[in-house]
Amino acid sequence: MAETDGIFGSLSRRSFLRYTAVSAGLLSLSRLRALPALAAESVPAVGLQVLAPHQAEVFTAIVERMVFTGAAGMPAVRDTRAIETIDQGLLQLDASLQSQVQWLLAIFQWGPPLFQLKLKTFTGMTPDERDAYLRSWATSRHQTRRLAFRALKNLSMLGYYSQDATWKGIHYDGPWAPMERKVLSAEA
Amino acid sequence: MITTGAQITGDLHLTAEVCVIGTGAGGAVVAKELAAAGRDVVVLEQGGYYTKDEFTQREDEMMPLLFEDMGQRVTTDQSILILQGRSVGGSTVHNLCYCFRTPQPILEKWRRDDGVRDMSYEQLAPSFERVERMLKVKAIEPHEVNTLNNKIREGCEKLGYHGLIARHNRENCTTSGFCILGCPFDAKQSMLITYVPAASAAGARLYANCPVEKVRAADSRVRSVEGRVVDALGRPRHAIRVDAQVVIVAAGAVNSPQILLNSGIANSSGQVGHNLHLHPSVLLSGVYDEDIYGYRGIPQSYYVDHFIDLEKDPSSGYLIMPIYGFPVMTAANLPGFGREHSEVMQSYHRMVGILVLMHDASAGTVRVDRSGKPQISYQVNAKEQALFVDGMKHCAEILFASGATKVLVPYEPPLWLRPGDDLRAIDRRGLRPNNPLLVSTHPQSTCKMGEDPRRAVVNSWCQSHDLKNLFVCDMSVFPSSLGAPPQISTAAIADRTAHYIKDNWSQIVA
Repeated sequence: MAETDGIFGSLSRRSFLRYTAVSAGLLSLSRLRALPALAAESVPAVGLQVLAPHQAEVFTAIVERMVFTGAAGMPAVRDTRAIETIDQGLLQLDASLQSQVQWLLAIFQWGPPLFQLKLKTFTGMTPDERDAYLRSWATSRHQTRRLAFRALKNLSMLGYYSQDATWKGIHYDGPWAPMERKVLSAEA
Repeated sequence: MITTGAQITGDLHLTAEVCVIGTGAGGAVVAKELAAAGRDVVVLEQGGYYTKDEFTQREDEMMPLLFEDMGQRVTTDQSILILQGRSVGGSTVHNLCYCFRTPQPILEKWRRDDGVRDMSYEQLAPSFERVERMLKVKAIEPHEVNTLNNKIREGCEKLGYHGLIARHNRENCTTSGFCILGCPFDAKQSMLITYVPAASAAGARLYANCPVEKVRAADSRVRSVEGRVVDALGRPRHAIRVDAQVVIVAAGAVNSPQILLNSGIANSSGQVGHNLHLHPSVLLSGVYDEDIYGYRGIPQSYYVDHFIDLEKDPSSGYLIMPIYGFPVMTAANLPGFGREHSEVMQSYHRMVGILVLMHDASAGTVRVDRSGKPQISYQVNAKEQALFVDGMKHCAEILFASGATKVLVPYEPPLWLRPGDDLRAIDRRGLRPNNPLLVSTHPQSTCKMGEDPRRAVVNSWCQSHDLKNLFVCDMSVFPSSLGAPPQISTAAIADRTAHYIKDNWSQIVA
């Protein structure tokens, strides 16, 4: 499949890479939710603050394909607070980095015509097409796209698998001696 | 006395006989020993002060609190994740408690290659003993070996690979398994609950949330330490300055050279930041038909030393060790996405993690960029790329020998192996930058010790060759890769250094 990074190349590569550098790690963007914890303040869930509804919809669609919730015991992404968790995290980034993430989501959503020569948006694709599109990012010969995929993947995993509701499905017991959560309650 | 950034309401100007930078396995020990000897000690720690009541056992909350750069420090090419501690207690708060003394052949190599004096195994023994007594080091009991570790042991025994049950520094352990997120039971005998309170009880004044920016020197002597007091979000609030007669930099093998380079001191050798070794590791996973629950119990109690023989070759080889991650960590680290990824996650409780830890001769550098931040470069040399491939094949063998039904080699795209598969598939994929991702928890050697001032940053007592009242006291000083988990070595060398300073105080400050 022909692919191009033409528009992608217009991103501020330096700051974008700085942002996506976290994606190379095991914990990736876990810092996003750490900052409220550092402040030792309980952050109430007050709805989305960074992601606009259409951006949240794109991100939800991404998370749904990233984690695949069809297995027994795994809650649907929309039944968790995965997106709110990601949004709370993004809230802690400075404005320019928030903007980079929003831009990435826009490019990702509108990218199929550019990257795959398909006249569809990401959310307009079938599930199989979405997977193929994600895979094209994951295996792109362009490092920036691969890193963007990794950032989206790690945000997705952080948002979803930090939800207590997902733990039963993977046979994880959770904290040995449960303590009050320091960040927002992640339970749906 | 431990003061956090939130308790500091204005600029601070302190005086002390000794200023220690860092509270990990090096800094905490030297601070305690010197305070106990009656010296007036100020300790600065860039991270926060967190205790068991804050260790929530949630990885999304704890990893950023306890790890440098909130768990996101990577090499410049993003091929190696580097996990280092940053709170009071340093990496000892999150480490997995392996307790190895410095291998004798490594000490001999340091003597032979770098001229390190008076640091034979026997000469270091009193320091080992003091440190081990303080940290309550003991053998892990066979019944404390969890299922995951036993699987690796079983595989090794079937294959004839040599392995051992390790020693550790836990007391009254509940075997909850949350060691890497900070022990909520104070069973882990980290610096946080041993040397730090002992230093404090002996009169040391510890200031958390105080990252150091520069060490000032004049007239061939270090004069003061300057830094910032930051708030809980890391934003600078006030300035802090400590005028001291002796300064001990113990901020770890990335931040110590960062401080020295930003200060423009102690680098007549040009070696500050060079010779970086990482003990880079690659992690594989085996999936079993039976329940493992690898996150339960002591995470690392067994290790395989069959592929390292320091007597024969003190510069090469690798250890194989068990490892496990919590859900976010595991999910983010597993290759792929979607249905295949989810299927692996469904096996989360039936997985055994195993890693190859390289005793690396490959060397990298720590530099600082224009903003003073560290930039870490490192590439695995060809010999060690081949050793990694060899190690990954042995890991797969071990997992299959103990009953794994499939093994995941974490390439992107992932390589799945099943019993009987030709392991030469790993040879074909090899080891390339970023594929698979490597992890390091043991950066070291960036301010190396040695008697030749042209080749080493500090002498055999961790004293700067350039500035007599400046010491470096952490893993930075190892002249080469240690080839073993470094906690006890770091603490013992710090103990030895503290006694040297104590015994030679008047000469050092003269």
